[in-house]
Amino acid sequence: MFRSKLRALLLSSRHKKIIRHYPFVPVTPPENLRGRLEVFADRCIGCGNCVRVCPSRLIEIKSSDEEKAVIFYAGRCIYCGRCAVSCPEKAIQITHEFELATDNKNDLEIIIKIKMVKCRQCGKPFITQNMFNKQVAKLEDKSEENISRLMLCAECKRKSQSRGNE
Amino acid sequence: MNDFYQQIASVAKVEPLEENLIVFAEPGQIKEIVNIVKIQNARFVHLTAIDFSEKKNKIELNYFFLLLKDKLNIILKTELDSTNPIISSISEIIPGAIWAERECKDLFGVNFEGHPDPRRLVLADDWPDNIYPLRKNFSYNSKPKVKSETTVELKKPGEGKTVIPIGPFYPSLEEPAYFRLIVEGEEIVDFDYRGFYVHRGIEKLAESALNYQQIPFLAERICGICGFVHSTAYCQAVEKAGGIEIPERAKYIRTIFLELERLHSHLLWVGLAAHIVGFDTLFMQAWRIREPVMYLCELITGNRKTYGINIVGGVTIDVLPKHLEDMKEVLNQIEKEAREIREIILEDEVLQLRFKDVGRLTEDDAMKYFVGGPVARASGVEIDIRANFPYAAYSNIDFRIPLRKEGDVWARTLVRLEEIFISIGILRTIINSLPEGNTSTKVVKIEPWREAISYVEAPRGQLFHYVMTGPEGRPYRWSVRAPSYQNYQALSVLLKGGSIADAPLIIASIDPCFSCTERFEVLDRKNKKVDIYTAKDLRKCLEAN
Ligand code: SF4
Ligand code: SF4
Repeated sequence: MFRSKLRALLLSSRHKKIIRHYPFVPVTPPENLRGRLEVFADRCIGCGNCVRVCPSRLIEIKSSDEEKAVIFYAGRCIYCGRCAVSCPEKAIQITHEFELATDNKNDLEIIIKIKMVKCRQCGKPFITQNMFNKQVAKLEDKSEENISRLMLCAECKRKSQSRGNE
Repeated sequence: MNDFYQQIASVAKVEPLEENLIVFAEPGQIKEIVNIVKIQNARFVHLTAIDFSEKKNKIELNYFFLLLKDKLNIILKTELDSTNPIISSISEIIPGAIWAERECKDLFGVNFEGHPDPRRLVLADDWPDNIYPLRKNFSYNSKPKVKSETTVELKKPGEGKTVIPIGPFYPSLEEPAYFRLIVEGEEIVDFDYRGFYVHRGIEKLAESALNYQQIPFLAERICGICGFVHSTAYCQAVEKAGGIEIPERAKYIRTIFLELERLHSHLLWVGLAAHIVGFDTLFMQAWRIREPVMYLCELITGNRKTYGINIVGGVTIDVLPKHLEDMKEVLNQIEKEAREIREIILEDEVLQLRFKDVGRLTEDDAMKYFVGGPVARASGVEIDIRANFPYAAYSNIDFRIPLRKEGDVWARTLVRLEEIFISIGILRTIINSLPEGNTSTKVVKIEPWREAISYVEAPRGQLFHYVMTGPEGRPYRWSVRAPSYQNYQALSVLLKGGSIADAPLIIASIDPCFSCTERFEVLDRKNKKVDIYTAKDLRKCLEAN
């Protein structure tokens, strides 16, 4: 009976210290760790892909006349990274930061605001500034006229086209 | 097989579909068919209801059976009128169905005539009568008014017997459950259980608010130890229902994590069992040995647990050659140290005295309650879903199934120890044969009203998921039966005749997983709301003391 206890003793004495002295000695997280999200307001086009894929359903888009706000209630984030994968503009980046403990979960909220562009005819906000910039960048001929044509909402565009056809 | 087929066909409509045999029966015929199925030695898997009240005023009942020798699932379907769903109970014929019927009654309001124990199982005691949370007319985010008067029905001790309560917070596993031992002197003569305190309503949430690709992440959170089995089982079920073929490489990667999970889960159990009998050196060493597995998982997926890599159509990460090198090293180290641990256990007379002949489950009883996993294998039942119904990459891998006849805690320990080495072997095979290719396929559309079942051999036994696809981009019904659900029901047999001192060990020996079994939602009975303590509140508590 003592043999087995002795063996257990030997086994444990071979490994005296296995404790990591964290947080006094910082640890380097592994390469694939998914930590705090970083969201870039200058890239987001407000497409809503991330809202649809998030398993925790924590992303919300609030629209007003002036701007679109993309809000991450990240206190509920499970750090799955699905939002980052789904984002067509790579506006969401997953960082290695993992020390996120807080006693106020609002600290973790991420809010980005993107300006809206208004239709030059009816004045309705119809597209985010970032999306608009992308469309402008795609134009081969960046003439004033072409750009102003882009500043029409779908409805006004249709109207002006049908008028043109008459 | 043919005989049996004709026997059923003479009573009801039968439709063979790949590895399934679907039987459509009238409610009155269920008992007769169950009797026929029972003679074939079929295992009862689960009973699931599906609410079609809005569509056709019916509630469909699905009884799932499994014929191991023929590799055949029998799905027995019947429809009840949803205004007054009533059917005769099969628990008399199949004692392993007692819980499943109680659950159906709680969540769907189906009445089972002649049920031996018609108490509540899942719902909280103050949940109002006549509100059935899994019916489609109950909205997932509504909060019904609780009953003002609540009674908890528990087994009463007979003359000259005493009750020893363990719980509602189970001390040695640190989880909520209430075990009620009825004892005569030192001997346990009866047993009662009230659990489901961590019922989280996740099936309801998935069926009402999430989409196909969000659910794997929820499913993985069913269990804190072996969550990967749940997301795999769910994804497999949807893939089967939707006719999605996933790349070979994805199957192998899933297998890697299923086996890594078994490895660390079994090592965790070895530690716990040692801890319960007071051998804490072994407890700590077993858990130390387990750590490299966790680091390895973290290295590959980013998380030591709850990897979050399963989606319908495959996996989201890739396993790189350098990971395989790391894995080789970790496996070598674990193999060496687990051998030492095994020798320590085998030589230890105290452990043998505590484990041998304790909590005996005969092969007959194991068959009667359809227990699975190491508990079944320690009682001589040759069942391992990896071999019986190969999924993921298991059809390409050879491995042994350890069997013991004794059926006591010692046998369960030996089986689990053996499985550690078998898992290491499986992982080595995979390292050498991991196929190249993509890790996921794109899922386009999943047709509604298809159904599929999927099994996974979890570290604790046979896991079962059922999915019926729905029209709104999410399952119409998703049903989960965790292995512990079935193993728990055998506890009454295991505990009877044991002594009080052995009870914690016996309970732990089935490696119960509370949250898997319960998987739904509880209300805080006093406040009916979630309280959040801030640092200030906590400081106040400290000062008050
Ligand atoms: S990481 Fe996952 S849970 Fe967190 S916001 Fe993105 S999708 Fe949602
Ligand atoms: S963060 Fe990306 S996915 Fe989300 S709304 Fe912005 S652009 Fe779309």
